[in-house]
Amino acid sequence: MKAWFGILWNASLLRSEAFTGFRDRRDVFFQGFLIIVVVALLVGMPAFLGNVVKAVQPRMSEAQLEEATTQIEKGLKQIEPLLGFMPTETRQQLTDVTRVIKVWVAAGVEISNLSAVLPRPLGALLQAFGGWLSLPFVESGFPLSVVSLVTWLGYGLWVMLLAKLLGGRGTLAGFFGTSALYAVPHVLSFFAWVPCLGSVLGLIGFVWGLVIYVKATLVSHELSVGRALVAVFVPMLAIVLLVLVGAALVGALVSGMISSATQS
Amino acid sequence: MGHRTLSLNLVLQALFLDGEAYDQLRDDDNPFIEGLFMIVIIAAGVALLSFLGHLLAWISMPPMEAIKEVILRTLQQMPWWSDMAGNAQAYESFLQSWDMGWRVFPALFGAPDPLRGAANIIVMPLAAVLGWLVYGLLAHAFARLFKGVGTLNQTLGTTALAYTPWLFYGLGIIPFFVVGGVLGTWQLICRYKALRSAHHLSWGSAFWATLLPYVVYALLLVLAGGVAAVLVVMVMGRQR
Repeated sequence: MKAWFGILWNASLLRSEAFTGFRDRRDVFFQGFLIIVVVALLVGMPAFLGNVVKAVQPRMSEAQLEEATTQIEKGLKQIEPLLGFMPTETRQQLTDVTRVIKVWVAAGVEISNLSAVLPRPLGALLQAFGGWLSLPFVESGFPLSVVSLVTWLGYGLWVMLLAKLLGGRGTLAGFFGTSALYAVPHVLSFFAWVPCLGSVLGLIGFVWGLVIYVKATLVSHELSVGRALVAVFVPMLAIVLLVLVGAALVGALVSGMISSATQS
Repeated sequence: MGHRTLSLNLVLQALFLDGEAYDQLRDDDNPFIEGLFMIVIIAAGVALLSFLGHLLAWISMPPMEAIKEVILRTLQQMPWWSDMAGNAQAYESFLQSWDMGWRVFPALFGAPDPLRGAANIIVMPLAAVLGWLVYGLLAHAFARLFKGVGTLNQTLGTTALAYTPWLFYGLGIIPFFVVGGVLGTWQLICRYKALRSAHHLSWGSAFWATLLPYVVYALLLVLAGGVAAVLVVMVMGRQR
């Protein structure tokens, strides 16, 4: 275990021998899988504990419901001045919107208070536990910004393909196993719940993880720094471009629909 | 009685992309039988475990009928409800969509359903074997096209190992556990390994041999969609 943490630490400090040693292990893919799962579960731990606390709390009372709806009303009142650009009619509909939200919040509370065969705390605990264990499998986001098997394997496939096209000589297991080391600095996201500091630490973890990913690609495929950078960032740029083009198309479509609706 | 290559260790090795596992099954005296046996055991086993998870999740949730009732009561408080309920045709249409929606959407969003979980004990092994055979045949044809040297028996045997990521479905014994689409990617990677091992292909040829069956699936899907659209247009045209 101590040796394992030693490898992770040395990899975080970008020491080449940690990467080559890791790459040459026979069980490198399994080791990579372990890193991803452990880090994803660790990062999800605070949210899981929060859900556990919620699960053992008593059901929401009428008074708590009233308080929640008052908070929603307050929030809507606060954004009212920001809606100045909207037509007066639309702003007047805000009262109706508030009423509808209140009705749905009440419905949500009523559903969460419905009884099941298992007593509520047990059911809610199981739900929290199942959700937490699912994190390594389902968590997704901007490439390499989250630690999950989806990002690791899904994004890794494109990087692997590009690295091969650029003359990379790495094996599947070697590349995937070594690239999993990008997850290590993401342990900083454990503090994501801390206001301000959490976001800063998350950003540091992301950038640090990116650097490790480039190094892992370089070492596992025996590529030059330039080629490794191309292999890692070209798929990312392609995704960003696709998203921008998609957003522009949707925007154009929506504005076209709005203008045609206004004309008619 | 042939030699038995399959073991738990081999399955785990294949899952974690150890090339030796693929080579060992390729060199077995009957890789097809070993593969078939493994797929059925994995699919039936994980379906059984998931069924238990479904059962646990189901008893920890309020009955779907009760949830449906609360939502209907809430909808009845919406400003548009009285207008809609006043129009007999609109109300009838709403009720139809409402019932249809409650039959389709809970299952679509993974609401626990022990009946579906029980049916999966039969359906999953059948679907796995069918998927394996179709993919195996297509991949074998493409691999041979790229000058692969493996036999069909070897292709099917090694590609069967691409079902090892399904083991994670077994974690479905934990209620509310969700695997998501990652296993499809993992399976793709295992298939690449399998074809490379069975046919001694270069990485580029193995890449295309792995991917082209998916292209065929996509084309068939587009074709089926087109045929369905034409049929719908024809039926609607006749009704007019």
